[in-house]
Amino acid sequence: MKAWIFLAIKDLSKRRRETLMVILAITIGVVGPLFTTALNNGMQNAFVGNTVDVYIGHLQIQPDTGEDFIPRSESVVSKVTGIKGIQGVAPRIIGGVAIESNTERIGIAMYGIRPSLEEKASTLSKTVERGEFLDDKDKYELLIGTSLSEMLKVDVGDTVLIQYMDRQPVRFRIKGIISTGTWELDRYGIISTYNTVKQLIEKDDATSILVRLERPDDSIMYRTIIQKETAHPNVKTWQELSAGMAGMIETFGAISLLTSAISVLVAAIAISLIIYTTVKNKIRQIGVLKAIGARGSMILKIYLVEALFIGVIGTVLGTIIGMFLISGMQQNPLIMEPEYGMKLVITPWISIRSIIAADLAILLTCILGGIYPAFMAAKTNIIKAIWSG
Amino acid sequence: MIKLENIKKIYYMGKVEVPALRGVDLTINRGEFVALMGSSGSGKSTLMNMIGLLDSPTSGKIAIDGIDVSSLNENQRADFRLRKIGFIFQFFSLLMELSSIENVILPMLMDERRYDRAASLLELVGIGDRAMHMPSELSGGQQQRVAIARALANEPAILLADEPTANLDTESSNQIVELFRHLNNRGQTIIMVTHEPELGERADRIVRLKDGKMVP
Repeated sequence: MKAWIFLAIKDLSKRRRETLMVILAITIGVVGPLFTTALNNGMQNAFVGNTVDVYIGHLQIQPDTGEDFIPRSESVVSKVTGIKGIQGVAPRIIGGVAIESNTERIGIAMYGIRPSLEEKASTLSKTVERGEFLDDKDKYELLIGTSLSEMLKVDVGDTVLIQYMDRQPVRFRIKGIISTGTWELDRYGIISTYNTVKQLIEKDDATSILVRLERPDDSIMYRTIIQKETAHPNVKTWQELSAGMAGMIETFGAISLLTSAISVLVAAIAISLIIYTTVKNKIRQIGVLKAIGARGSMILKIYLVEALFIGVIGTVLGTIIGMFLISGMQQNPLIMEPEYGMKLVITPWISIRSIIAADLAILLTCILGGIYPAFMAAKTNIIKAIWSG
Repeated sequence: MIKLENIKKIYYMGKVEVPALRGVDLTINRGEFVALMGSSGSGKSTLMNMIGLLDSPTSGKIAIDGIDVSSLNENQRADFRLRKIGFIFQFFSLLMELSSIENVILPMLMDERRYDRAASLLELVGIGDRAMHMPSELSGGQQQRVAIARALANEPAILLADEPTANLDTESSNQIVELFRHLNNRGQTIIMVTHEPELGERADRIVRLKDGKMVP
């Protein structure tokens, strides 16, 4: 065994309590950033992800300025469906109606969808909590959100009256209760089939067309392609449509990054302090080592190895504990369900790349934290050191 | 084998010069047991530090075994100390987290040579039965014996002992000097700094220093 490894091990063994305490500090320093990053990712998914996946799509074709509908929307849908890289295209028609149950009557937005196209263009079909999703052949069947169903005190199988303007109210049966995590569909909207709504509100064309991409990050590129293919200028990306929410998530991300940076800094200070204190307390021993023939580089290695050892153990432990906590929360997601608010299910997640980046950052910090005191130890004046203390 | 020519050492306390050695010429032959003696501040420890390459002279030349050690760089001096010089300090200076045998093995580990002679060295100095004890479990005299064994680990050409008996009682002091005599009889060159005349008289030669100079 090399002398410097031997001495590093012996030194750490002698100071077991202090070593364990610093390892604990590093462990916490790793758990913090991992967990907050995973939670932030989960929140991003819950807020923006839900909205994009269910409500706004990766791209949304909207009416021209001043118009309420997209002319020849069926033709636009077919042109866009044929573009390579597009996973799904679905038209939606929207109108304002009144909904009446046995207990309540309120104004609401009514969305008309093509269920078979929605299954490719959004994840709406996966949000059914009770009952069933719509079928293309359905007429006078409804999907309503969990929040709205509670407010109206209705459930699957119940009927409600839908009235458009001063037209005759029409009875609809509730086919499914959905939980999308968006205000618009869980509380302020109801959904029926495209043709049913089209007939009800007496309109022919779509109010919006949702587009789902294989690669959501290419939204800007595909916006240009769709504009060219359809000669329709008003195409919005998901980034534009969720700007407000994305901004909020960015703020959360910045806070998460700041807390992570503080954790890393604490780890560096902890390591630096313990190595510095060790060097100060062992100055005479360092002098003796140099007197009996240890080079400065050997002294440097002893203390750098100690810093690295503490860093590695702390990082490994912190990663294991962090992943355990994240996994536990994935099995039991955080559910936010305010009264009449949208239900949010926050499931934390973190990529391997982020884990590796966090671990490497902490390890590097541990080494950097140990470098200065290790360097000071290596440069110790032998005579002063031997006669110190 | 050790030749010092006109060695001077000046320390600076701010702008004030403090001459510790004022031109020392000294030759020590292989196999000699030399005691450096003098009152406090005479320069004996400074001279020991020069010979042991712990410090550099302000001027003058030091040659050990024909090598001009004055011109060695820091790493070369460290290597020279490791292979050619064994140190024994006043305060024993063992590493407290290592057992007796581990303290003796340490220079061998640093030199990356076989260390199976550590136990025999502890036997040589008379504490073979304390090999696994920690320094805190040894008496002052026993600790100093471990320090001597450590100093002998790499078969040094020179054994330097700086006030090795300063922290020992009379009986232990006598035992340590007896051990030095025993080692010297086996051919080990030993330079010992002491302020105790009765111990210095047991060396082959006494070199006296006063105010940084050798005196008859």
